[in-house]
Amino acid sequence: MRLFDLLFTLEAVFVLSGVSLGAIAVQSFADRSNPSRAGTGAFWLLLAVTFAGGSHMPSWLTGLLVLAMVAIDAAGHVRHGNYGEPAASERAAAARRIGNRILVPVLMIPLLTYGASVALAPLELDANRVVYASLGYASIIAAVVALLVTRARPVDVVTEGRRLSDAIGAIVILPQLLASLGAVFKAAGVGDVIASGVAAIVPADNLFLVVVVCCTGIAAFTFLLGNSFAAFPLVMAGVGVPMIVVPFGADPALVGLMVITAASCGTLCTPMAANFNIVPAALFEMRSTYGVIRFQAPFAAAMLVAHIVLLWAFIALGR
Amino acid sequence: MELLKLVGVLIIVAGFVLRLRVAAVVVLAGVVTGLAAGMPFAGTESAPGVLDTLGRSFAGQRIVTLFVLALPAVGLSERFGLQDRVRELIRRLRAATAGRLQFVFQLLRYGIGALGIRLGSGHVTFGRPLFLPMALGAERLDDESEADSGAVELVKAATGAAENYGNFFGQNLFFGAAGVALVVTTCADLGYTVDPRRVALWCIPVAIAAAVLGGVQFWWLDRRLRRTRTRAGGDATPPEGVGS
Repeated sequence: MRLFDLLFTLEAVFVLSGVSLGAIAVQSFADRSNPSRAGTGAFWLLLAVTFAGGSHMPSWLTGLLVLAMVAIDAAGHVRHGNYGEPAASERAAAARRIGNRILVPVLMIPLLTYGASVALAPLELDANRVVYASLGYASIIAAVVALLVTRARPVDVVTEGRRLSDAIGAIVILPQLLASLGAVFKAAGVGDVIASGVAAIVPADNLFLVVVVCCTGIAAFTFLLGNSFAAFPLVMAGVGVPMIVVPFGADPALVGLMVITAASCGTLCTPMAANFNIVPAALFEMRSTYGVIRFQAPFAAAMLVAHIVLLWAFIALGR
Repeated sequence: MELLKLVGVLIIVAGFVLRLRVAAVVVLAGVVTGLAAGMPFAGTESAPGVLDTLGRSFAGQRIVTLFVLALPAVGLSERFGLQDRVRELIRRLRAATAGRLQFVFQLLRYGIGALGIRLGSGHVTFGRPLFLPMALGAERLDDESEADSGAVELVKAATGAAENYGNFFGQNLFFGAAGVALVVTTCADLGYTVDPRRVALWCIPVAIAAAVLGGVQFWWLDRRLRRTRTRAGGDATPPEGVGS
């Protein structure tokens, strides 16, 4: 049980990620075909250090390492290398030899994560710990199974991890950077300034207009900050409750849910929500960084209108 | 003086418009906002500074980057023909089109969300290894062919979108979801006792609206792909390597 408490933790999974990123860094340093192998290797090494040591290093030191990573990226020194990719015919031959078993490792990741979450439910551990420790170990087990299924050399696991990491590139740290920016914005009180601006333009007596301003306001707020969770309490306290729930007798459960999903319309359009919009564009090796956002924008606009109509209609019908 | 705090938002907008290096723009915006709000650059125990706030929240947010651990397994499977296999399997399913597959992806994501299952980023677990090759395979699109690049880009965008639509508008169907909890605690702070199951119930019309609109967009995607192909005359030539 003590071993379980040591290994089945977020901390352990962070250290394992650090080891994995460190192996990628070592390979990057050695890859002579990479035009900037020192920069690329240093980038992954610094990320590895912040992962493995992030809980123990002083915050200013982590901050300095982050600045160094950003500087390497800004100077254009995070580049691609050579991954010894097999020819298409070789790959097709492997696919025929291995057959459907090639699907096993990839399918294992969600199934093991879910299985572990269910199996560990009686222990009533912290939800984040269960989900992410399960996900981390499921990923590692999947890599081992992939090795067994493909009979590849162990070094190929690192090469392939490096190929996909390089495909994403420095974008990989963007979600963490944006979350940090959110923290600075919060400490500086940026949200309050925007919320007071939204509250100032609300026409108080017309239900439809208040609903329009409330839904559009939270979407715009989320667009700017990239996160609905920071905006939601401010909008509910500033507009949702005093201008909709109280004067029109609306169900706070209805208003709250619709406001929080209206915020997602802003999330779908903003590069600030990098983990949802920018990272997948990099992961799918798209030509345009903003390709996912461009596809989502018309849907988001239509969803915003749907929110306004639904919220207004449910309140109007319920009175 | 209050408006000075918004300078960071301006920097972000300018950076995105001018297409500068995003990471550098974000850090610059954070540093400037912090300094504008009177935070020191390097802080002390009592007065946190910009540098340590950056370091603390960067370390505190490592969870969002844990998906890197899944990359070796996905990459190794790809090296040994994962995508080729997925494409071959989906071609046996005549009814499969890129749009229909993305719609299935969105609904699958609803199901996962409604059951309260959390799996981290679906872009890594489902998008890249499964739904993207399925959709490309169903449309017989080649990721490396220059002629297909416009259609491939569109299918990739749709794969990212399907995950987001399903995740954002499906997760609050589960009464234990983080979004529902935020509604409950915020309402409690404002003096209202709210039942989380009732909050989740109101997510049903939202999920239906998102399914209808997503369905329309994915139907449009199929139409658009069909048109591009007819114009290119691609239907007449048998796709490479099929049936051999």
